[in-house]
Order: sequence, then C-alpha cells, then structure tokens
Amino acid sequence: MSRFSLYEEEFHPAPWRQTWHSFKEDHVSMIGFILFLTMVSLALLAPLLAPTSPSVQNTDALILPPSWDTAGSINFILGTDALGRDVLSRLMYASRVTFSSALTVVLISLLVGVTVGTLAGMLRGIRSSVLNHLLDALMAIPTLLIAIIIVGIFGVGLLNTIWAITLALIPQFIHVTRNYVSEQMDNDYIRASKLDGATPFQIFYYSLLPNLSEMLVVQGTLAMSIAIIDISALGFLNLGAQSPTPELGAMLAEGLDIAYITPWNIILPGLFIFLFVLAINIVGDGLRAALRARTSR
Amino acid sequence: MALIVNELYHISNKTKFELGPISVTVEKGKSLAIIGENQSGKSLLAKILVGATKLSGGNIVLHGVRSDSRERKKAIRMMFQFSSHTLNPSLSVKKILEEPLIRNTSLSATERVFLIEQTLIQVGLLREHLHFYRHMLSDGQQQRIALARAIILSPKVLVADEPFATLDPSIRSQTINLILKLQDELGLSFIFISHNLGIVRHIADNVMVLDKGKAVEIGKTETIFRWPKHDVTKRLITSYQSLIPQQTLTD
Repeated sequence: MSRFSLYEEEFHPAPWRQTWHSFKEDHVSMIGFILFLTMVSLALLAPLLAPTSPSVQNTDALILPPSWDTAGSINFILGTDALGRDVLSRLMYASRVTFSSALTVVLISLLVGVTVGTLAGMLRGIRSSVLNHLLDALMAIPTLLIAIIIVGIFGVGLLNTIWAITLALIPQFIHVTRNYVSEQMDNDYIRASKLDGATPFQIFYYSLLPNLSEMLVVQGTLAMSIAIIDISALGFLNLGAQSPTPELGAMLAEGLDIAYITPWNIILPGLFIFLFVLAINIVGDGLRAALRARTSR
Repeated sequence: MALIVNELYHISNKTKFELGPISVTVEKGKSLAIIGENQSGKSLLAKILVGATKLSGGNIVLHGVRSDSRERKKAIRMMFQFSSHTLNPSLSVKKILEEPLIRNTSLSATERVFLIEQTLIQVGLLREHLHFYRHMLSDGQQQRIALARAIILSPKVLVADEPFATLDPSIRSQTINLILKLQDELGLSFIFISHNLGIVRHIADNVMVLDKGKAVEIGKTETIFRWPKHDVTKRLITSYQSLIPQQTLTD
C-alpha cells in the first residue's frame, strides 16, 4: 500500500532551497554542474585515482600516444610526455594544483574584498568616494597584467603567483560588495534594523550578510574562472609553478616544444583548462539566472 | 500619560528644508492624523518622532519624562509606507521579529519565540508564519508582519507613514480595524500620515495639517473637517468633499 498524506503537505523552501530548485530546472546549468563536479573530483581524488605518480619517468615509454592510437599502450591511457611521464596522472595532479590554488586565491580575495567593500559601502562621504575612485582606477587594469607586475617584483613561483592573483582580484570583490552594500543601505529593512537599535556591525552580520552571500557565490564563481585562467597563464609564461610541479599551464608550456610530434601533450592540458573554465562559467551563469528568478518575484 | 512634542524643530543640512517649530500633544490611546500636501515634511516629522532623524531643537516628552533617543526607539515604534520593503528578503519571519527583541530585551530564546507567536496571533496570523519568508506572504500578511514588528516591544506610541496607501480597499479596512482593535487592547497612541481623508475622519481623534514644514492647523477631527480655517486645510477638505458631495462647507 502506498503511503499517502491526508493533508496537503506544507513545504516552505528557504531562499537557498528555492535558488537550487530553479537552478535544477535549467538543464544546461545542471550539465555544467555535473561537469564541474566531475572535474573537481578528478582533481581532489588524484592520489586515489591516478594510475601512477606524476613524476615517475618511464624511460622505455617516451612520447607514447594515447591508448586508442595503434602505437599507444593501455598502461598509459592518455600517453606519455617527452620524459616518459604518464599524462593522465600528470593531468589529474595538475588540475589539483591549479584548482586548489585558484580556490585559495578566490577565498582570500573574497574575505578581504567583502570586508573592505562593506566598510566602503557603509561609509558615507569623502572616505567612501576616495576608496571608490582608487579602486575603479585599479579595475581598469587587467588582472593578469597586475599579477605579472607583482610576480616581477616578488619573483617567480606558485606561492607568489597566488599572492599576485589574490591582490589583483581583491578590487573586483570590493567593487561588487561596495555597490551592493551602498545600494542596500538605503533600503527600508536596514532602516528598520537601525530603529531596532542595531549597530553597524550587527546590521552587516544580521541584515546584509544573508542577502550578500548569494551574490558572493555568483561573483566567486566568476572570480574562480578568472583565477584558473590567470594561474595557468602565469604557469605557461614560466612565471608560476616551476618545472617538476605538475600545473596545467606549465604542462602546456612543456608540451609546446614538441607540439608537432606529440600534439596530445598540449591538447589535453588545454582541454582541461577549457573544461574547468567552461563548467565554472556555466554554473555561475545558471546561479545568476536562478537568483534573478527568485528575487524578481 | 501622553506624548508631548515641544517646539520640535529640524533644519536639514542638504536641502535647507525647515520643519517646525511644532508643538502637539497626543493622549494615551488617542489617534493623531498628520495631513498635508507633498513635500510638507510629514514623513520627516514621523522619522524624527521615532528617532531615525535627529531633531535640531525642542524636545519630545513621553509620560512626563524627557526621553533620550534609545528609550524613545523602544517606546515609539514605526510602520513604514511599504511594509514589504521593511522585511529582509533572506530572513524568515521569526528572525525578522526576533531582531527587535534581541536588541532591546534580555529574553531567552524560548521566551522570544513564545512572544513572537503571541504577537503573530495578536495581528491575526498563525504560528506557522514563523517559518515564512517575505516572498511567501501576501501584501496584507506583510503589512501584519510589519505591524507585529512595531508592537512586539509593547510600545506606547505607534507612528505610521502612510500605512494604508498601498493596500487595496478590503485589506485596508482589515488593517484599520486591526490597528483600532490593538489600540484599544494595548492603549497605544497612534500617529499616522495619510492622504486618505476618509480614513482620517473615520479613525483620527485629532488632525494636524502641515504645510511647508509648519503646522498650520491642529485640532479635533470634526472641527477641522467642518470648519477648516487655513487655506491649505480648506483646499484639502474641499478636494476630499468634491468626491462625496452630500456635505457642504459651513463658514
């Protein structure tokens, strides 16, 4: 016998749940989301899933093509590079490095950006306007250029790249947060909170943050794709992760020397970067559409 | 026991708009309607009364005590014109109504929920509405939540800025009846701004007419409606009566 309920069940989705519902209804975003999850789990589970270590050099199997090629071997599914390292394992470890550094970059710049942006948004008058114009000037310069300048000052290396891109991304977060906060500060619900006796920090924490968090997820996904591209670009320019460290951009640069003999060595890392950015952008876009659908009702 | 406004005066830095000096007394349980044309300073006066805007001169005395702004914020509560704008879209009704309690009382979490439930029932909603978000409520329900928020601290005075303007006639009368009922039960003084002179005549005990920041006429509702003295009052009353022609002005 099937279970039935006598009364129509009442269901009150929280704003988050509602966003998720309208996100789910869009198939493209859902495919992007699944792609994103696949890429992330490939990266995170690399130590478990990867067939070999990324740095083992098989001298008897140099520049082997992928396994579906007649010259390929099933032991190296996506072939090997010029030093005989398994490309699949390297790709997985490389996306791990690229993804986790991009995530670090986004989290740090989000934290700093939101703090400063909120302060700027809640302030009035000359302090706010000075901060605003300064940041707008910074935002006119592309992040990659700022990152290259910073790396030029601090020296090359993955850690310096992370700092550089973090510093380059912070103005964007500040800008978005500042605009949002100063727009919300004129709202009646903030005024009502003030009348309830809330201090500025309480207004931020209690009234603004719940509204802010969704906007930040959207902005975070956009920043994430920028961070991935910038990290691999710096890696490609040999300014980021250095040689033994597997990193998508660095792999691309290594494969470039013998690209005519082993095209898969540049196609595959390029494909991985492309898929990562594509998946993140689709998810970000879907989230934005879902949020708009929720708030415009 | 009354709210006494003494020579209240405000001058705005930006627009140089001058309000007052205004002196008015609102007895406990009585209603004062503030009417006037646009830009006459009605909303500003409401904001000053609840403490959202500082006054430049004069004072507000509540129950014989000249209260500072923090005390006043607890005792004089406000309802905004667009109640839906005063509800945070990301918070549930429970959290919205909890905020004034957290800021102004030392109640425990369970006591707060109990009080919120009581207040919800008082304004004609259900316990279940605790878990609702703004977008799940109708306009009338949002208005009730705004009212619940205003009365949850058991204030002495309720100030409302055009509370009925955005509501359709049936919800408007429901809200009016609800406020009248609560005024009876809680002994609230009710100060409201309205353009709808029908409502003003129906529920206000006293009327204050504002024009360009000055209170040009203050008096009993019937007196003002029957024998308006000032030009602005005459104009307002005449335009209202042109809609209902059964009564003519007596000089």
